[in-house]
Amino acid sequence: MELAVDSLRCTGCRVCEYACNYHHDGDCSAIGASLMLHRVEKKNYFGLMVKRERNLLLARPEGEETVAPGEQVEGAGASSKPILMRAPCDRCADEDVPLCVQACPTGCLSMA
Amino acid sequence: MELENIYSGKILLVDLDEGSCDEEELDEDLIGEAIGGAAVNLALYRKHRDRDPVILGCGPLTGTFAPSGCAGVVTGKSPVTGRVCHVPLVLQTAVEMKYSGFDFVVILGASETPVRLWLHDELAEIAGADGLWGRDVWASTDWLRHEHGDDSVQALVIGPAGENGSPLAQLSEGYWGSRDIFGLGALLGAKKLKAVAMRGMGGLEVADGFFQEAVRVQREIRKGDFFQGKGMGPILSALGADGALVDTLSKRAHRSLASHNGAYAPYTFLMIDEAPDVWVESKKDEPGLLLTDPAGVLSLQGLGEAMPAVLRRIQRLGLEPNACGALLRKREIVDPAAAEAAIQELARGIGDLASAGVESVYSTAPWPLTRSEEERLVQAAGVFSHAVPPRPVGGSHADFAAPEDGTGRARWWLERMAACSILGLCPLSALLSPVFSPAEMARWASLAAGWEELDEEKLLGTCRRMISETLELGEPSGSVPDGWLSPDGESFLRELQQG
Repeated sequence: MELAVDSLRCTGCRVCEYACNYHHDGDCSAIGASLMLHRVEKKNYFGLMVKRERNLLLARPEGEETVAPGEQVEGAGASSKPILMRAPCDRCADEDVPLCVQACPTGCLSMA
Repeated sequence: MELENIYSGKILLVDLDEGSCDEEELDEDLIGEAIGGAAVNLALYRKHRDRDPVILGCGPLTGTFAPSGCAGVVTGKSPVTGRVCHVPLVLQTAVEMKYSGFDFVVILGASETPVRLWLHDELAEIAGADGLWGRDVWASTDWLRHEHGDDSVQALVIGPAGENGSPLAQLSEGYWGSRDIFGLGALLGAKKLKAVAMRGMGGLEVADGFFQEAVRVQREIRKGDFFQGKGMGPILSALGADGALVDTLSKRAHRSLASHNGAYAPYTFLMIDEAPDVWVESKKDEPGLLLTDPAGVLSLQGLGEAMPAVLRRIQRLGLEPNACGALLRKREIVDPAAAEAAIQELARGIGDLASAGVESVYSTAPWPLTRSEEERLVQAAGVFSHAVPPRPVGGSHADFAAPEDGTGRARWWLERMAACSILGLCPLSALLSPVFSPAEMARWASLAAGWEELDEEKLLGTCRRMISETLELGEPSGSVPDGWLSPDGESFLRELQQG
């Protein structure tokens, strides 16, 4: 089972990032999360990036893409680089349901 | 109340006369007395009132797991109304400020030359803004993000309208319009402060068990009928907007956005130069705009299909859209080119509501639709922005357990706005779901912070005192229209001031 993203249900509220960081570090922050909202604000283009153990999931609104380590990502900007330096998603191994899935108000995150 | 949870623990003092920044520790006694947000802002305002302060503040729930815990508040003396006012920040700016390491920012005096403020990593810098002054709001936000090398930088920005001292100038949240109907954009312009940019990479502690309870409450909120939809359309419909306006918007509606941990996504992006059903990244740099202010949209509805493009111009210039709409209606301007020309003039500081003969409430443009007694009263109070709808949106007054009489309803709205502005919760969300009662909001803050002494009574007492003390400050300029207040209404406002 991996974290799955229904990107068009995302409303960009970012609580998933804070929930993930809470799992990893025990505090409220977004800086250590395994997932991250990528947003090109003036174009209203946004989706989630999830660092998984074996790859990076780019949940773009037009469809998903997975990127293997070392592959180049088309369109990635400077703000998307920090995700690669973070801990991968461990699916909140100590929880029945990952905290990001619990916190997401729209149901855009699930385990599949 | 102890501060180990919830707050970063710092107040930043920015002296624009001297070009210097200083810090103070956030005082436990101050938080014990005022809790946070607008009530702390007001205490800081009173302390520094001889230096015309503008205060940016966060609440205990800002940036936490609390439902709609997105909000901050700006407090200052309105150059439009002559009174102290509290303007909510509802996009990402307040969250970013808190995580930058500062819970409150006190801006004192005025600079002789254009400057900008940069908050990050518990550091604050005043820098020159020569390359920024003269740019519109969108170009300024772009400039700041490029300068700091990070697209996640948030900013409070003024546009040409603020630089030129227009009474219709608005403080913008990044690219988008705010709830500032009080001309705080012109106040920052007079201080020669072009922008406050922020990037927050810090962390906050929350008490054990708060995350799980916040998730439970958010699910409860989401069960409400209103929360089955999204976007600005249902909000406008609930407020009684013309069906043609909602149709115009739905034809251009792209994805809708929520604020930090928002249960509802009220902010709809309209595509103007791009198809609304294209999900790939647009090749156009600026294909549309984000609707953030229902009052502004309603006020401009007479422009029909041209409304989105005109509103985009208003946002870029840093103007208050409700007032712009009132002026355009008074001048009977419906042609898009004429509207854009008129707006450019307003941004140059030419024209105001009074000289145009537009009906105004202490020189602010009235709420554009209904005029019930409670709506007239909350606008006459002038403490909070009536760009936030002056009534429930996600149901009736009865659904929200609000009183049946006008003065009771006005008090209900004012106290709900006060509670949100003190705690750091989105004021619009508190009008979408009855779950946002003062008792519940106090309980969330108590749980998050571990403050057992915070309850409904303490919160409402702080709200009432804050409203009363706000009304004591400043002398109102302008007036309300004839017949706006009944004798009961005038008596209500006196009682409000007396606390």
